Amino acid sequence: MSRAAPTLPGLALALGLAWGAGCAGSGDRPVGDDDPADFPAVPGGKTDVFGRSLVGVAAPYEPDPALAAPEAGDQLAADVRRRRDAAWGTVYKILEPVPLLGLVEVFDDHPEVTWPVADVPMVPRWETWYGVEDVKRMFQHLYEGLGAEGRAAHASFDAAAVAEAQVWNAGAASRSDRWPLERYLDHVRELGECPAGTPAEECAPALESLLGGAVTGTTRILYSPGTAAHVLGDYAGAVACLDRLDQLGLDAEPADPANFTACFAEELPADAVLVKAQWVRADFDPELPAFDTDGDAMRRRLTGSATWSEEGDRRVNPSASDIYTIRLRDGSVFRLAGMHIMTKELRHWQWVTLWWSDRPGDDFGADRPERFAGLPAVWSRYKMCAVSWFDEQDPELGRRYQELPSLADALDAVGGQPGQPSWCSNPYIEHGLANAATNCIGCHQHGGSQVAHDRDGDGTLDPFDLDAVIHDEARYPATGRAQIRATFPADYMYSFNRVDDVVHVFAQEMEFADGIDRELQERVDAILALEGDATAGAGRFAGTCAACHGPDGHGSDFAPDLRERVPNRDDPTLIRTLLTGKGAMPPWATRFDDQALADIRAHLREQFGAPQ
Amino acid sequence: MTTHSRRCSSWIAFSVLVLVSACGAEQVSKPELDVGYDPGSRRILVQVTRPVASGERLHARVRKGAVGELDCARDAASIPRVDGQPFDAPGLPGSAYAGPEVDQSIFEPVYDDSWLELPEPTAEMLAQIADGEAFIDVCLVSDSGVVREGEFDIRRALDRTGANGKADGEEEVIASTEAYADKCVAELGDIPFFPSIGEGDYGTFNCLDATPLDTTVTGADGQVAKPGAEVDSCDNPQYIYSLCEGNAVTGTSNGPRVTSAANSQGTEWVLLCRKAKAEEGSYNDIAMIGHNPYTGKTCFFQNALYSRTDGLHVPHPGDVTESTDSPQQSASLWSGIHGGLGSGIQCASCHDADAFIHSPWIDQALNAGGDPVVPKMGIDEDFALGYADAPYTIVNSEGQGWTMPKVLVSPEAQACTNCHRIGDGRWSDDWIDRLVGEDESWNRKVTEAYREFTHAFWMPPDMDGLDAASWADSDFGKAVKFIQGCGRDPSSCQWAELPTEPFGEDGELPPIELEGEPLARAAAAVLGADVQDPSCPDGQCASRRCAECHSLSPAALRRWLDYTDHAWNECGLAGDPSAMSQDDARRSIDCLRTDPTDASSPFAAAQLGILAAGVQYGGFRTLFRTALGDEAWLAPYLQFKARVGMPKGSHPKLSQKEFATVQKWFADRLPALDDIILSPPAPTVCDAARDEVGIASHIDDMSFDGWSAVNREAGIRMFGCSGDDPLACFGGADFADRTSDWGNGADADAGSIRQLRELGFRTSFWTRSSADGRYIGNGGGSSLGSTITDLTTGTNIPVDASYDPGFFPDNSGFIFQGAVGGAGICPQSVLTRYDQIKFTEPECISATGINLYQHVARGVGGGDYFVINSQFVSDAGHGSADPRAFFDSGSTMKFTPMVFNGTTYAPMGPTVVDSPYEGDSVLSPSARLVVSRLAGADGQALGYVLRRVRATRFGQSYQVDIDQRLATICMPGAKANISFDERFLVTHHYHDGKSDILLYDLATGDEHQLTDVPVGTEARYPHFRSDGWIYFLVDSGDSETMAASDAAIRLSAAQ
Repeated sequence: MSRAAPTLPGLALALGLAWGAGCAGSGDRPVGDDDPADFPAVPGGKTDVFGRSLVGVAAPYEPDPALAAPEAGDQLAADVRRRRDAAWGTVYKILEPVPLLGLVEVFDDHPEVTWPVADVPMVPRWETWYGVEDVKRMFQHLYEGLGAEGRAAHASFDAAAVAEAQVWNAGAASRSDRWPLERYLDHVRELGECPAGTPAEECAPALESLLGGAVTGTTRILYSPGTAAHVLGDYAGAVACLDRLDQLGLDAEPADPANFTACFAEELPADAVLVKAQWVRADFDPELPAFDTDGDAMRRRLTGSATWSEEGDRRVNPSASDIYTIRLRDGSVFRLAGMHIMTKELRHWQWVTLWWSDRPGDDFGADRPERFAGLPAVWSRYKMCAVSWFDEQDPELGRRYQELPSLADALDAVGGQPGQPSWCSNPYIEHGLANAATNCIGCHQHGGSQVAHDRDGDGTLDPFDLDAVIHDEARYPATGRAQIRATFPADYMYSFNRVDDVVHVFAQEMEFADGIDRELQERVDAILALEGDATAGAGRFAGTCAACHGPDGHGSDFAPDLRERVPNRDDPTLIRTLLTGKGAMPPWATRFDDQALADIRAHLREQFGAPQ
Repeated sequence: MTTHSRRCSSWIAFSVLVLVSACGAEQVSKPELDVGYDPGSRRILVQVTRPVASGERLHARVRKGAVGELDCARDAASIPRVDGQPFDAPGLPGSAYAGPEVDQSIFEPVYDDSWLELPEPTAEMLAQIADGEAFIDVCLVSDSGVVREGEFDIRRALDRTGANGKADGEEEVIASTEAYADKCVAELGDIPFFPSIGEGDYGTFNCLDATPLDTTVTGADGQVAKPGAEVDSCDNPQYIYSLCEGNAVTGTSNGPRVTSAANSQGTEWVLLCRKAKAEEGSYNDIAMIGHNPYTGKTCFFQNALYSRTDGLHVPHPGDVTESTDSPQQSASLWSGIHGGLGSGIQCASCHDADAFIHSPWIDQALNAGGDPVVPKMGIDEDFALGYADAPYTIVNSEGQGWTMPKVLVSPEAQACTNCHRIGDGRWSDDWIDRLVGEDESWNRKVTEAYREFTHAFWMPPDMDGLDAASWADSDFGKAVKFIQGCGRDPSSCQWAELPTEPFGEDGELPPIELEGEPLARAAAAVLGADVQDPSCPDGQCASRRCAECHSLSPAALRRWLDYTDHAWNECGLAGDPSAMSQDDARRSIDCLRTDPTDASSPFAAAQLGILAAGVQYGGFRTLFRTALGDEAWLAPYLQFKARVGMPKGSHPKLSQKEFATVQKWFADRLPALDDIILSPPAPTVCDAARDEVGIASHIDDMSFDGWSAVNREAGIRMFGCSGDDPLACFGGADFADRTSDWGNGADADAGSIRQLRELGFRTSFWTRSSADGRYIGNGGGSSLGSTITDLTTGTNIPVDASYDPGFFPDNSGFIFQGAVGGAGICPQSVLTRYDQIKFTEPECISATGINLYQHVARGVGGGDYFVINSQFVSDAGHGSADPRAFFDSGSTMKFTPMVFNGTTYAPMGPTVVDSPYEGDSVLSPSARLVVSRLAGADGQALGYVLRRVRATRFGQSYQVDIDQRLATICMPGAKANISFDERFLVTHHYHDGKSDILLYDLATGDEHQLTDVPVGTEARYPHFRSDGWIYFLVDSGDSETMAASDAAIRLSAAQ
C-alpha cells in the first residue's frame, strides 16, 4: 500500500512509540448506532492519550510576517478590507489540512496494520492543537522532571524542555496500562474500517470524517503549540499571579511598557493562537438554528436587546457535506457551528470568529478568498467577522466593498462611525442579552482577571461577572466594548482562570507535588534520625533487595551494582530512593516502616561504604 | 378606629415615599405633599404636612399626559396658584388646601371590557386614550427655588375620600393602583420580579427575560412553522383575543412572554406580556396576577392598554418614587384597577374558577424544570387536582364592587369538576364551545391540523380510549354538553359560592361513600397499583404514580399501614390538630422526624405512612400553625411539605378527593387488599448463580475501559495520596488508623480502616463521594437541607437540596434530590467557586422525572450520562435489620439519559424496562452493569441480582436491554455500590444491633466482612472512589464519622 508522504516540519518530531509488551486481548467491539453490545463507552477524542497518540505533536502555526510590523495593527484597524483579508488568511492557515503524524508512525512501524484508502487521513491544523488535558499532562511531566530541588524553587522550563514534553505527551499512550500494543493496534484498525455500506469511492471522505472525530474529539478550547509553550514555560509566574489578581483594579497601569500583562514575564509570542470551538450535538436533534446576518437582519438584531436568539431565524438540517461534522468513537455526532480564533500576530491580538451559515456566500461570507476552494468544501460554508481594536477606525466600511453590496450593507449595519465601538459577534457562541452587539476584544480585555472591583458598592470585592461587563453601562461603557484597561492580566486569555482554569490546573498540580515533596522530606528526616541496625538490615536486604541486586549487591542486567552506586549517593538521596523507587526498582515506602529502612541504610553503608 | 389607624399609617408611608425629588435650599423642615378629594366641593385637596410658609407659593393643576413630565422649576409659573387658608381634612395629617375643581368624570376609567374583547381597539377607542390619563401636579416653590414637587395619579386623590376611607360598603375603596399594590403586598407579600432599591422604589422587570410563548402553524404537509408576525390561524391561539401573535424571537421579532415566581409567603406571581408591538420589548397588554394558594387571596394588575407599553421596564405597581436607578413609577405602566369603580372589566369573569387560567397556548411556556411557567393543578403541589375547596378571593373585592363568580356543583358535571372547578363566567358561557370544536369563529383561527380531535379536545389531559366517535357518549362528553347548557341557562344548574377561606383547617376531607372492594379498587387506582382487572390485563392501565418508586404489593401496603398507624397513634395525627396544645403540636411534628428526639433532624416520609401523600391538606397546616404560631409556621411547613410530600418527580400530587379515598382505605384497614392487587408469586429462595465467562469478560474489559483505568490515565489526583500507589494513601497522621476499633480482624482480607473526618453534624439519607475522594455529600447538616464536605479544605458547603447525593464517575459533577425544579445537577467545579450551592448557579441545571434513590453513571470516553430509578425501600439508618425488599412484580428500572448537546447536558426521554421483584437498583460507574436487591415473599430480602446493561441509540433517546443476568448473589445487605474497576460490590448489613460493611468479589465469588463495629454503632452507605478505597459512614450514635477501607485494593493486589 502506498500512502502520501507527509512533509510537514513536525514530522521531524515523529514519535518513537515504544509499546510495552502486548498482553490481554482487546475487550472492545465495533461500535455503531445499531450495535447493542455496548453502552457508549469507547474513548472519544484526544482528551485521552489514544487520540493524542494518533494526532502526534501539534502542528505549529506560522505567523504572518506582514502583521509583525509595528504599524500593522493601526493599518488593520483603519481599513476593514485589510482587516478582513488578513483574517481570511489566518482562517485559511488554521483550517489547512495536516496529516495525523502519529498515525503515520503507526503505519511505518506496523505494516501489518492495513488501511482501506491510500492517503493518510488529514485533519484541520487547529484540530491537532492542545486541549487542557494535554497541557495538564505536559505540565505533570515537566514539573516531575524538575526534581525536588527544582520544584522547591519553582524553576522554569526552557524551550527544549517544553518541546520534549510535547513529544512525551504524544507518546503517553505507550506508557498507559490501558493501551497494550495489540489493543492499541486493534483500535487503529477499527478506525480504518469504512462504515458499513459505504461505496468504495466514498470511503475516503467518510473515513476522514469518522477518523477525524474519533481522534480529535470535541475539545472546546485549543492552544497552539506557541500558546502552550508560553503558558507552560511561565507557569510559576502565572500561578504566583493568581493571588495578586484581587488587587489588580481596572485602572492598574502595566509595570513595564513592553509587557502589558500582569502574570507573564513576557507577552505571548506571535505564534500564539487560541481557538474556542462551538460544537452542537446532531444525533439526537438534527435541527440546527440558522441566522441571517445581512444588513437588514443586523439592523433589526442590534436594536432592543441585541441578542442572538437560541431559536435562530429558521431551523435547518445540514448534511455532513454542508457543515464540518465529526463522529466520536462512542458514536455521537457533532457539528461545528462556530469558532473563535485569536492570534497574537498583533500585540492586542487579531480577533476572528467563524459561524456556519446556510447562505454562506452572502454578506460576511461574500469576500471569502477563492483559495478556500482548495480546502474541504465545508469550510466555504462559514461566515467571518474580525476586529483588531476596541474602536472602529475605518470611516469607509461598506464603501470599501462596493462590488459586494451584501457585505457592504452588513458592515454598515454593524459598524459605527470612527471612534465608536467596533463589532464582531458569533450567533452560536455569544449568548445572552446584548451579546450580539459585542466585539470580542471588549470582554477579553478582562481575560484572566479574577476580581474586577467592588461592583455593587457593598464594600466587598465581587467575582468577575461577564454579564456585568455587558450590562453595566456606567462601568463598562458601550456594552463592555470600550477599552477601560491598560493592564491585561493574562494577555486577554479567558482560559487562564475561566473555562479551562488552566492556571488553577498548574496550581493544583504544584500543590499536590509539593505536598509529596514535603511529606517525603519529613519521612527522610525521620529515618535519618533513627539508629540503624546493620544486622537487621542485612536480613531485609537478603529477603528483598538481593532478588535484583544479587546477594552480594553486585547487580544484574536490570539492577545496578551497589558497590558503585551506594558510595556515590548521600544518605538523604539513598533514603529517598528506597522510599520512592527508581526505574524498575519499586517504592518501599509502604512495605517497610522507618526503622526497617534505617536498618537497610545501615547495612548498605556497612557493606558498600560511606558517601564519597 | 382600626380603619382610621390603618389609613394614617398608609398616609405616612405615602408621604415619605412620593416626594424625594425635592429641590431648593430652605433649611426649615421640608413638608411632604399629597392629594385628596372633596366630593362636596368637587375640589382636589392638596395636603402639605406643615402650613405653607411665608414666601412660599403652592401651585396645583390637573393635567392629561404621562407621569414624569412635571418640572416645577420650569412649570410652576404656568400652574395656577392655590390660595386660601389651610384647613384640617378629616383623617389626614397637616394642612389641606382647596385645589382645582374637577368634574367627577375625570376619575372614570378610560377602559371597559371591550378592550379585552376586540383583537384590536377601534380608532375611537384609541382616541380616548390618546391624551393619556389624568395627573395632579403640585409645586411648592419659594423665591429660592422649588421646595417640593409631586405628580399624582388622579385616582390617588380618591384614596383620601371621605372621613373614614370607606365607601358605602364595609370595605374601604381603593382607587389608585399604587394604594392597591400596597394592599396586595400587605396581603400577599412581596412581588419577586421587582427588587427593592429604596422606600417605595423598586427595580423594573424586563419582559424579554420572561419565557417565550410559541405560536406554531402546522401545515397540510405536517411541516411546523413559527411565524415571526401575527397570522390568521395557528395551532393554539390565545383565548382572550382569539389571536395568533408572532413568536417571540429575541432580536428578530417581538412576541408574548410569561414568567412566574413565588415569594416567601407562598404567593405565586405571574407576569404576562402579550400583544407585542413592533418595537422589541413593547407590549400593548401587560398583566400580572398574584395568588396565594393557602389563603386564596388574589390581586390582578393591568397596564394602560395600548397606551403605556414599555415592557423593557415594567415597574412595581406600588413604585411611587422616581429615582436615578429606577426612574419608572407605577403610573409609567399600570393603569387604574380594572374592574374597579365601574369600568366593567371584571378579571374574574374570565378567571372565573381559579386565579390562573390554563390553555395549550400558555402551557407551552415551561420553566427550567420542564413544568408550565404558570402554576398548574396536578403539577404544582400547592395546586392540587380536585381541590374544590381551595379558597379564591380578590383583594379589596368588595371595595371595588367586584362580583365573584359562582362555581358549578351539579353532579352531571362531575367528570370535569372532579379535577377542577368550573365558574359561571366566560368559560361556561362561551369558551367551552371551543373545547369541543363548536365555535366556528374560533375554528377559523385554528389550523386544520389542530382542529383534529387529538388537539382540539385538550381536556381532559388523559384521553386514553377516547376519540371523536366515542366522545359524545363518554362521561366527559356528557359533562361538557351539560356545562354548555348551564352556560346558556344558568338557572338550570346548581351553583355554589367560591370558597373564600382556606378549607380544612381541621383537616377535614370530602366524604367518601365507597366501601369494601369498590373502595379498594378506587384507592389502588389512585396509587397506580396493578389491580385484578379483566379490562386491563397485566395492569398496564395503572398510572404507576406511586409504583414507579415503591412496591404496591399487599405486603408493602400493609407496611405502609403500619407506618400510618404510627403517624396516627404515636404522633397524634389521628386527632384534631386545632385542639392540640402548642407543646403537643410540637411533639407531634417532631415525631415525624428521622430522629424524634432531635428537633433539628430532618422529616422522614416513612414516619407519615400514607399521610405523606396528603401533606398539602388542612390538617398539617393547622398542626404547624398550632405548634409554631401564625407568624412562624409557614416556612417550616413549606420545608416539611417539600421534603416528605409524595409522590415526587413527574407524577401529579393526589387531589383532595383522591387522598380522601386512599386515606379512607387505610383507615378501614385495607379491605379487599388481597382480592384486588395483582401479585404473582415472588421467588421463595435465592438460587446463587454466576456466569463466570460473562463476569470475567466484563472485569477484563473494565481493566482497560473502566472508570478506574480512565481516571488513572487522566491523572486525577486522589485525596489523601502522595503517589500512584493507592495503598500508600491516608498514610499521614491526619488519618487515624481505626482498624482495631472498627475492622474485622477475623477476616484476613478485611484490610485496614482509616478515619477521614468526624462530620460534626447529623446526616440524612445516604452518603456518596466524588471520584477523587475529595468531596463527601450527605443529606442534612445545613439549614439548606444537605451538605458537601470538602476534605481538602475541611469546609462544609451547604447545599439547597433534600437528600440523595450522587457523584459522576468521571469526577465532573454531582446530583441531589429535592433541589429547586427537581433533581439538581452541577459540575464539580462549582464547589471551588461558591460558598453554598443553590442549584440556581449558571453552571447548574435542574431535571424533572429523576425520582428519588437515583443513581448516576456515565459511559467512559465521552459517553452520555445515565440516571437510574427503580422501586426502592428507604434506609435512613438505625435499622434493626436490613431494609425489607418490597419490590413487586410490577417493579421497573427507569433509565434517563443525560445527553451532552454541545453546551450542556439535557435529560432525554427515559426508557423503562421491567425488573420484577428487583429494586434498589444501582448502575456500575460505566453504566454497563446494574445490581439490584431481589425480593422474596412479603418483602423478604433474598440477595442481589447483577445484570449486563446494553443500550443502543433509538430515535430521540436510547433503548435498554437488561436481559443478561451475570449473577445472583445470596448475600444480606442494603443498597449496593459497584467499584470503579467493576470487580467489587459493597453494601452494609444490619445485624445484632449494629451495621457492618460487606464486600463481594465478583472475580472470585468470595464475601468479606470488612468491619466488626461495636454494638450500637452502624457502618453505613459504603461506596467506592476511583482508586478502590471504600468510603463509608460510621454512626456511633453520638457522632458520625467518615472512614475508608483499603480491602478491595488489597484483594486486587493479591492477585
